[in-house]
Amino acid sequence: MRVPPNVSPNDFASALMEFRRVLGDEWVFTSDEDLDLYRDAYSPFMNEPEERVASGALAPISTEQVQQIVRIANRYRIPLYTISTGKNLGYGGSAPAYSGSVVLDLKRMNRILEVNEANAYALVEPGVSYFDLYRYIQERKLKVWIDCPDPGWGSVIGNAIDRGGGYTAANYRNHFDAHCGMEVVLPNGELLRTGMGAIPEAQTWQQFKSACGPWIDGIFSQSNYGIVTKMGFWLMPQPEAYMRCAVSLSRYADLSPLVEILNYLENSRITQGFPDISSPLLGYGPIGQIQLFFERGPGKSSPEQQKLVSGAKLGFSPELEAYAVESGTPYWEVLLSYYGPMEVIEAQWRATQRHFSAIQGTKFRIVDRVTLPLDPARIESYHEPEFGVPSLRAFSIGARTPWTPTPSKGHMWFSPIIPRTGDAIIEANRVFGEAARQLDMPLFQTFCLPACYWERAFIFILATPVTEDPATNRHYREGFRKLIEIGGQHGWGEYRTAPVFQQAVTDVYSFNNHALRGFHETLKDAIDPNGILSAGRYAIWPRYLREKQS
Amino acid sequence: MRTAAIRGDITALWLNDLKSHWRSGGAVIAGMTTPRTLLCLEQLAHDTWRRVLERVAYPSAPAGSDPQLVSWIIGL
Repeated sequence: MRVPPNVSPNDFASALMEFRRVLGDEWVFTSDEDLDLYRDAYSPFMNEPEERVASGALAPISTEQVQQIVRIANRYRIPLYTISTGKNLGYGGSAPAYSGSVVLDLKRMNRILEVNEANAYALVEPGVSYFDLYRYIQERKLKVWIDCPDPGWGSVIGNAIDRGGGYTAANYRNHFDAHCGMEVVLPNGELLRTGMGAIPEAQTWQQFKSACGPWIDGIFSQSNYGIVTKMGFWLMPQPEAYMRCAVSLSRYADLSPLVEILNYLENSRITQGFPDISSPLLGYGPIGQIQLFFERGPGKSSPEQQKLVSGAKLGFSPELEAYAVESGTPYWEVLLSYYGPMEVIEAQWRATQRHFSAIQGTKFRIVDRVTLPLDPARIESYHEPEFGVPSLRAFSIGARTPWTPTPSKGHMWFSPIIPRTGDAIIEANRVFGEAARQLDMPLFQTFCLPACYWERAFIFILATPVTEDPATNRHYREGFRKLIEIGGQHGWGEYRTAPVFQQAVTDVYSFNNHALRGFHETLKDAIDPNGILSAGRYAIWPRYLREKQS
Repeated sequence: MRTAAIRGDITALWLNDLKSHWRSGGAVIAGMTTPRTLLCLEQLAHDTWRRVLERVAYPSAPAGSDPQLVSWIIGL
């Protein structure tokens, strides 16, 4: 039997006996074959001694059971590590941040407590997946959309408190921002409701976020201060129509005005959908077609174009630009999506064209214009998440194809936040391109364009492969840490990362001698003095482990 | 015995068949897929506490030909 660190075998056996009394024998897991299911399928430490593994797993079905587990864990100082469904592959999966913790697996808590069509919100438990919520809404023919990540198999709550993003309208794509109200089991077993939920007979828990007094919801995301057992979300009323349009630009220098105009249009809500920037010239496709990119490669291009692209520096050479202009191949293209009544989105598209017309030579085209709901038979011809439809197609990333004959075992996302300017895109390519060459990391094909999951800033996403070879993985891990450090030197930090890099990533957030980390630790010591909850999650360690480390 | 064919994406199979089959206590399934598809199925199987009981990987095919395959059995 595996035993958590700093816990005696006798104490662990006693704790397990009490856990079994609460949950029943079948929901307490201690065998190797059961616990192997909680390994991170994309772990960069796969099959190495440092791989983070669980000592046990518990699967409660109710908030009351969670409270009882937490009280038992306090008595025996058992480190727990909470997961909702554990499907955030690339960001850690089900494996604990502190190796040897007991995974608290909430996937049996899978009730959809309410979906309110009239005011477009839902209240769910942590085991509810995007597929579950989507199916529930479809079966009842409710006229609301979810916003889901891609792939969409994970927990609605888990993705939100990990601060994931989606693909529909801007005010729903940031999954944490789209939440409204939480129920949380605190480390002492006490139950807390945030926002209007703090009123015993609350009428507006999922309708008004901040209530009165300090708004504390944020401290329960990417943290270890409590176990979220219910969470409300604002849903998107089913739009009447959808339009996707392309804006194409022919010169390298057009990138900066493209971003400036895009920012204005998004921040003014003239365009609401996921803006998808690509470069047909450089062979960098839109994120919405990323599975096609991995399946088929960057698309057909002439030998002349290929030669010019490979000879370009930071995606530019005068000859390449001349080729773009002469051949009519767009240097940059942004796909814009609009949701709403047809007369409204057509007017928004006209306004979009008027603004982009300030850039000489801009070309416009309507890619698609449909009334909603879509015919289900047609959905597969689209990037499903842009219609709030969860999918697993994203798993073609890393699949073995003629274009990718030796796929990786998995990947680690390196995803720093950079400013929303054209200059920042080029600077990030320069900095990380040089770093990738020096570190011998296969991060770039030609040029990388950032993702626009959220307004106001870009995410510059690079996938670092995970292989079956420990020496290669070690090389990539070291490179990954160096990339984090280099990003920090330029004022860029990750928005999210896997447990193995959480210490390195949060080291970058060091303003005023790590005042932010100090505050996190002060909170941790006050809220969870025994350090039982998700030790090490986002590098927030309880006092007894901080002292051991130092 | 029921059979199903997939082509890379298992979303439809999962949503329309496997999800309810497994949640209602359905029996073992077996198949031959790419390793990536098996990874998806394995993760989804864990939602109902199932696991891969047996897997046999076949040698890699030459690059550019059909992808590598693995045969497997998933059950409780």
